[in-house]
Parts: sequence; structure tokens; C-alpha cells
Amino acid sequence: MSCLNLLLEGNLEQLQTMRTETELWLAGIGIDPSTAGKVLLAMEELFVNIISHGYSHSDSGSHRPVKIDLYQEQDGLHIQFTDEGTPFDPLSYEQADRPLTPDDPPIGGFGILLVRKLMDQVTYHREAGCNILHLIKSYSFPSERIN
Amino acid sequence: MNETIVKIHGSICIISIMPELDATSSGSLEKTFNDLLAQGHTQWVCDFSATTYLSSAGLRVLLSALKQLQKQSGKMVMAAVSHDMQEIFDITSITQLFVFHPTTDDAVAFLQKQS
Repeated sequence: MSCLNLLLEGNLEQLQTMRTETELWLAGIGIDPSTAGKVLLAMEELFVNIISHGYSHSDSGSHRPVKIDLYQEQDGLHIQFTDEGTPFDPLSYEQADRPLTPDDPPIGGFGILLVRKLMDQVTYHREAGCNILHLIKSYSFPSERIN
Repeated sequence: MNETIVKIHGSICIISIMPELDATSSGSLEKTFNDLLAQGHTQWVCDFSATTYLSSAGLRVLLSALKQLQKQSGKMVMAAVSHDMQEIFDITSITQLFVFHPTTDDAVAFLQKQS
């Protein structure tokens, strides 16, 4: 099965590289553009989270690595983020559940909410000094082309 | 490509939102919004017809501008939002904070009727 392994530096300039490489790979394995858009969005949210939380306390933060592995399994597309930042579980930092009011709209906290809703499974664990976030996105495989 | 274009239509501003509103481009939109507020423009139509990507960084800029507009009794109306982009507004429950119109013409007509 096809896989994509990216090793990026933890800074915003790398966002476009991540997106371009992933978009190409997803198109290559036949993922439809709508599903690909959701995967790319979840990836941006997590990448930005690592930069602004995991690596925010480090002087060399912008050069520290973010490893991203994408591969296909029977149950869907798997995406794993590994970073060496301070222990940070973004899933524990969800937006406080309060009603939205037009008079006082919230302005943040939507990133992880988007990741949770757009992906089918999101898990976090800490291993060997690294934060590891694992996502699964189910999708229907494109039907075989009949010649 | 990710430059924001603003057309002034009487007292209404039509703001063309960039194709990819993400963590890197949202700062430029924020600047456009702040400039419009500083110039006293408070009736906005955000034209999403070219937008195919919207992340939480973009949502944050839209909500922050909405908050400031409300202080000045202004209005921000969304136009031509695609199905995929609408989904982003819906799943974050932000939909309820904005009025959506299928085209910019409809959105302009709506604002003109309100004033």
C-alpha cells in the first residue's frame, strides 16, 4: 500500500509544503477532492497546534521536527503526527461547551473541534518523549474503472 | 493569488475572500477588515465564491471582525458559500451567527433593504 512520510520543520512556512505534498499524494491514490479537503484541513489544525503549543516554549521551536506519516489501511486513511514538543494533548483543550450568542461570539477554539468532527477517529498518546496524534479518516475506495 | 479585493457599492463593501483562507493567509484578511473598520465601513458582504479552503484561523478572523462590527452596529453577510465551506460553518455552529445568501447580489439587496 502507498504511503507518504513527511519530515517538516515546526514553522508556518512549512504549511504550504505539507499541503502540496499531501494533496498530490491523496489525488494519486484516488481520494475524492471533498474528502481530501477535510484531511488537509485537519492536518493544518494539528500542525498549527504543534507550532503554537508543543514548540512554543522552545527557542529552537521553528526548526524542530514534525513528522507526519500517511498510509492506507482497510479501515481508511491513517495520518500520524509525531513531535518532540512539551507534552500536549490537544484533545483535552476543547472549546468550553457554551452556547453561541450573537452578542458575544467566541473567537477561538474551533481547530480541535474541526479535527474531531471531520475525522472518524482521533487519539493521542505520549511515547519516548514525543507527542503522537493518530487520525483515521474512513472513505469509500473509488470504484474500479471498467475498460 | 491570496490578495483580498474589496469593491465599494454605495455604503456596502463586497469583500472577495481568498481561495485559501488558512493560517498563513488569514493575517492579510484581518488587515483588510481592520482597514475597512478604520475607514468607517460597516456594511460588509463576504464573497466566498472563490473560496475552497477554510480553516479555524480563517473562522477566528471572521468572528473577531463580526465582534468589532457589532460594536459599531455594522453587518457582515456571507455570500456564495460552497457546500464544503458551509459544512465548516455548520459543524462549528458558527452558521447561526451569520446570514447566508446564495449570491453577492442577493446579499447586497438584503443589506440595502435593512438600511
